[in-house]
Amino acid sequence: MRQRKVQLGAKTFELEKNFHGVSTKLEQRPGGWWILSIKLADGKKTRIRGVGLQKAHQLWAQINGESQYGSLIQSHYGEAEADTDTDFVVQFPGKVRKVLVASGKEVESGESLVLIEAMKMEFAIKAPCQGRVEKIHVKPEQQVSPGDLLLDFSKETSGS
Amino acid sequence: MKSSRVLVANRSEIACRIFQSVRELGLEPVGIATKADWNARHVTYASAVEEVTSYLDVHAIVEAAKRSNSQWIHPGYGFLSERPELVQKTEAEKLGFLGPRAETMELMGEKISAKRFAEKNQVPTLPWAIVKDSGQLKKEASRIGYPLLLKASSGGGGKGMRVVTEEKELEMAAESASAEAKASFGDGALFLEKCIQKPRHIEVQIFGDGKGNGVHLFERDCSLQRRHQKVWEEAPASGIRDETRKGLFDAALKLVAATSYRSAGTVEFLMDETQNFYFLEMNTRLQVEHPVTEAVSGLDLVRLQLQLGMDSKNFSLPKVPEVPLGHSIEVRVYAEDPSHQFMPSPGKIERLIWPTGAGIRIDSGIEQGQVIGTGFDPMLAKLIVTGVDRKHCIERLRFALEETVILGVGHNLQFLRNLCDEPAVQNLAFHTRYLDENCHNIMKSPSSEYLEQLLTFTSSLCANATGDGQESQATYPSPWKMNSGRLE
Repeated sequence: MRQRKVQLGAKTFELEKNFHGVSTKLEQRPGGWWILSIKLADGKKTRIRGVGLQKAHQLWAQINGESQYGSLIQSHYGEAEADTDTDFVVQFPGKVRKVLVASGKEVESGESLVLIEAMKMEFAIKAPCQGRVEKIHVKPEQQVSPGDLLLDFSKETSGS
Repeated sequence: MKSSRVLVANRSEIACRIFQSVRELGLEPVGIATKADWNARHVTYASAVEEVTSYLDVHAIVEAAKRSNSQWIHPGYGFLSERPELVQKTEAEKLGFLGPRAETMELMGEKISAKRFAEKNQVPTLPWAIVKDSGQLKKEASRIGYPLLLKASSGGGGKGMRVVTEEKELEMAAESASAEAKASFGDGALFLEKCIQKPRHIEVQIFGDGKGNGVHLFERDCSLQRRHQKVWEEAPASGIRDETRKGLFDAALKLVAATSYRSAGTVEFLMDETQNFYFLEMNTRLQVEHPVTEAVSGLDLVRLQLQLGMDSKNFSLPKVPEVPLGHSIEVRVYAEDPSHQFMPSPGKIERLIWPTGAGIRIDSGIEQGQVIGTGFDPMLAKLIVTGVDRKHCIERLRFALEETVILGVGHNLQFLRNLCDEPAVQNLAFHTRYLDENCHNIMKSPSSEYLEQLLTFTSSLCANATGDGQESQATYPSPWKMNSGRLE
């Protein structure tokens, strides 16, 4: 079986790592719920109620009252690569309000780089770590769509 | 012959909420929608729907009311709800406006005139200034002192608001706030005000008969806000001394009497740690958080608005209980991702399960299968719970959130669920900037126990339906609803 990773919030988890169940039973309930009964290695029994959705690489789950969502990351992606990839890709349609840095600028972690306006609110796209803005791909007032790349960013690495 | 139709000049959850009271009184609700918003939930439930070019087009809305033979217009909240022009145009057509008079909106809609009016009526206010150019900005800011609050001179709802803690932040904050205010309200003038450290936002719900008489329907605590947008609202406000509460009610009722206030309204105050309170503004409309007041007063605010609007001569003010009937909390479910700076998270709602049970009310603007865009406010629905006291209420809210499922868009359900366990929330140790300062800690990573269960669940099931081109080895039907794959 292929190894799978799930990104929930800012953290990445491997799927199979904590699998301690020795026997499981799955039951579909009316209303769309699923019950997973697990007998653990130590003989204890657990009953999990949940519902989930996978859409492309996006994942949503509501299990035992806790709601989480994130992305499935294929094992051949490196975690670091996945991080920087998504930080500057537009996630929602909006308009560029302001570009706060110029190409080539060294920035601190958390520094605001671009302001995006959507749903009548302003959102700051911030540097995830210390690094350098290599190239800005957008202009103020420009409409942006999900998937558009705002800028190229390189992480500060020791010795560079 | 008089028609029995009420046009609701709004959308989504509040339109649906107003439809309920309209129908309970045996009247017909008429909805409006733009072409782009035709999938919105309220369009399904209206008795008739009129297409309008924009929810902000006064002329189009009054025309829609005439065209649909509606006798009254209810504005809801937001959009044109506090625009005197809508009241004037509605009344000029001999239609009834279900809200305050235009002159009350004019007086209260402008922060300066509202403040002066409050001061004239012995209602306490904070030091303030109005600013039109940058030279004035610095001078007035240092007179008032830091920290100070910068906001749009017109409008509300937190848009265009900034806290400035020191002088060097002033210029950039002013520019940004002014631009946002201009985009939202078409007016970039700014208002400066002294900022209280750790204030609570306490507001009093009032209802006036338009002849100088009015009642208060207790207070609400709406201190839990993020970027000045309310997230969690409750009634009554806990930990307030009786004399403070009486002072708040008296101040609010002074403004009701002085304006001969008509219909439902809210007087907002900021309260400092020693329970001094200061007039913030008066909202001349029904508010988003009105359900918590309905819960603890036993009254239906929209029904009262309709009854007053339909027959003001025979209207008598409601009898309000001596003390609140228990405790009520509302949380706002937003399509925002708390793990990513609360970014808007549009998408299609693939699965939707609302909780049912004792003391739970859902005011929803969404349906399963609905596509959430970015054109409107990201609020999806409101979840309101009522219990015997605050502790019970938080326990009930936790249960209700645990039974709520929204799959397919990002949302703040887990953030709200975590708030129920937050010691500062439980112990009333919060203030209006608490969420802004602490949201990272509140949006904690899942517990190891949860993770183990999640991983077990996903390992057992998700692996059977990977959607990555691998042959499925499903021995069970998959609980992971596949949209791109074969399984459904």
